[in-house]
Amino acid sequence: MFHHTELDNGLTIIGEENPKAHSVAMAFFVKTGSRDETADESGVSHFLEHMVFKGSKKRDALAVNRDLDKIGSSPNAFTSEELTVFYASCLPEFRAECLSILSDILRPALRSEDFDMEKKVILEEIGMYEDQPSDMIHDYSRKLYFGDHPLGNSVLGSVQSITDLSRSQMIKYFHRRYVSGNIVLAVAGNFDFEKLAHEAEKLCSRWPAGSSPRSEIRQTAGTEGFEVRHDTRTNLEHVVITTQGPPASSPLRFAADLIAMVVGDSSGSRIYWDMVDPGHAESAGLYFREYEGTGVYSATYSCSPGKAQKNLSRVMAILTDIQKDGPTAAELEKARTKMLSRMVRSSEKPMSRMLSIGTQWTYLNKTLSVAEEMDKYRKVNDHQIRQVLDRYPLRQVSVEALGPLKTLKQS
Amino acid sequence: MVAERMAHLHSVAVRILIPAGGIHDPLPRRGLANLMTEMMDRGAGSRGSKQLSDAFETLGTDYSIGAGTHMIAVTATFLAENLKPAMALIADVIMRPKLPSKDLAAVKELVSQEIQALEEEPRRQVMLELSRQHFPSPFGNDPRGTLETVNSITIGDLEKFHKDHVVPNGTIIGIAGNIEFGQVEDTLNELLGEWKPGKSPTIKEGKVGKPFTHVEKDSEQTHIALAFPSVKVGHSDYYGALGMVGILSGGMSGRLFTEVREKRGLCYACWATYTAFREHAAIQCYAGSTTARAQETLEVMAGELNRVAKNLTEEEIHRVKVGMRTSLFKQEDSSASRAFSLSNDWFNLKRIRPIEELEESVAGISAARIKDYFKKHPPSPMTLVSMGKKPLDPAGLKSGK
Repeated sequence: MFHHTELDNGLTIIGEENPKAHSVAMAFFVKTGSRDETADESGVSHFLEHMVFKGSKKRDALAVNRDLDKIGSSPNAFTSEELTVFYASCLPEFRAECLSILSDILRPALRSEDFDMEKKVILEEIGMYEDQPSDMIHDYSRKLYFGDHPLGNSVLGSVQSITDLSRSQMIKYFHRRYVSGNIVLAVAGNFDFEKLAHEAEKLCSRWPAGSSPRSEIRQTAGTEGFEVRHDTRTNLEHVVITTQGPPASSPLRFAADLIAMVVGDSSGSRIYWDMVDPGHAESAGLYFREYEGTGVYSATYSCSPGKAQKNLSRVMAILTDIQKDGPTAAELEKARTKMLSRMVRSSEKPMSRMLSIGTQWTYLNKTLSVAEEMDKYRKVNDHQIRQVLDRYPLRQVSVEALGPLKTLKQS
Repeated sequence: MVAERMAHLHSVAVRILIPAGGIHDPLPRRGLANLMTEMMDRGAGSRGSKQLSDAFETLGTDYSIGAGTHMIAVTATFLAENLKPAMALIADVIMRPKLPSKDLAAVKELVSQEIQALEEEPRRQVMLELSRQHFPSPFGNDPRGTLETVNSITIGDLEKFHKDHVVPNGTIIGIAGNIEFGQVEDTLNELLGEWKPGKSPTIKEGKVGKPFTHVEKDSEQTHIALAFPSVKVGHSDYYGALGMVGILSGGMSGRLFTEVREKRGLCYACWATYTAFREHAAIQCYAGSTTARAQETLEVMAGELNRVAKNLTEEEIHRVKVGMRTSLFKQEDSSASRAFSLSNDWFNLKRIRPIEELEESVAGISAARIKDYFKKHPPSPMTLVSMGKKPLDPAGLKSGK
């Protein structure tokens, strides 16, 4: 059963009750991320996400950890290009306390000694990712594709930008972005919405009102580019090919999801059969990622360096084929079945339901039930597939390669 | 077969453990069991590789097969109404794989690339090295094998391994979800009734590795991994061990996280975990810290390990217990995690621990039990593996920092 309400200050509360569930999951979705940062704030969204757990005026960092642990919640958070999400799940008996703690820390004290200490942790986190170059390639390829579009910004920031970032810059960013109209509270599982909304009103109604819409949400077809990063720390060559896809608000996103599944799902897709099954690549796939205002498809593969060139031709041949003839009826049907059964399976877990309704709401100001969403996939037909392929052709806009190779030729 | 009905769900999850894991690999053919799992779904029964994959997908089954230390695990989740056709496909994969020789080169190529990819992930690599040094061979070996051993495997090796080890004796089937017991039993009898038993081989245990190992790597961080022996699942001190790990690493206020990250900012990731299989159990810890700060990180970690049984507060004990109780109940929202627990319980204990028993055991954790555990099983001897630009000084393990 789905519910929705809005506080006077603009904070949205949504919830899906499932009395059969044994737990409840909740999150504050803040519509902010690396795309909302200026160049000299690079990495602040993610750094701020860490600082939220350093406590409010009422609680210091150790008290936050202690209180969240007292109720056995498994709290966590993530920051992306356009969302910062603070989530937790717990047994129904601890739901009120869990909400009370999460809402308290969403107004962080941002103390300077905590800021200095957490800066070290962030620098360690950057070090950790730098040790796994295959994790870094996604940042590089996004930058290459998006160019000067803010979606090219790095989520982590750089050692330099984090070292230079001041506490006052973070405070300014916080006041600019963490306003009530920019925040959605999403809850799913075993709970009573009326009660929850009432508690949320008491806890959050004093948060500053206002909204903070994004300044730049232009659609972009990307920047053409071809970059080969020579990195001797890896054994395999990692390659990402990026092209434009529909934005999150487009009704064509369901068709785009199914195309990505036909072409590049981790099993049973064209890329799987042509590249992974014969052993040409250790892993390969095509992923559709939607953003506010725009979207991308990324074809990726990792393989022995000697196979990288030929694999580039293989990927391009698959994309060209699909672009020309679309998926076969049997492929489309199979992708649909896979998509629907994945949805049913994940709908049993409060955490995945909560993340799903929260994400939908932040993009669309509405939420589809599992049944409605399934229906959207059922209704994808050849016409929509053609439409999405015509408007967002599967081709190569940018190519990013990282690994032992010094050169790679355009396919 | 162990089954549990979860009538509030639409799905059914099954996890089949076959006693054919990496410890059964002949030494010069290490990686055989793992390669076997890659080959088993390349066609089975009357279906070729692609037809088999299509059939799983048409049924909307989330299916995987992989080799661990002891067992090959086949897991699948599907809608309740597809129980029989999905199990029929799984029975084909287990009993009648085609093991097509034309695919062997491709599969070897895939596994070789996977082994190479692993070397790019120091966090995983350091834990694999820790297992190799801490546990006696073959228990500490990575089931993937090495490039050399994998490349030496032949179709003949696979066929023999299948005949000898992919057998019903010792196999455990855990099923959870929206099922009827009678129907499940009939289905399994019909599909697996003719599966031929094999021998039950014994494993010769080799030596453990070195106490201190440094792996040279040009990385930003030094990755630090520690292990020391613990008690097996079901031992009378088992909950003392879990309690101690909870104090170190449970939730957000675990002592390791608090001291290493929150108070000193030495790392991003830092944790301790309990790990066990039938013959051995250990507590393992990890932290990653930039080169200049790694020695201090090791010392702070060791300090916490050495004093974990001291100054235990009621608040800490409560935190550990409520965290464990919550994860018990969350299992009830997922058929897959319940099937996982059922099959693991049977593997470790030859019985299923009902939720009530687990709750009671968790409730029984106390400061006295953790102290008693620590006295009987102190964190020693420690195995230390570091990976990075500079070796660490193992004297740091004695730290009282």
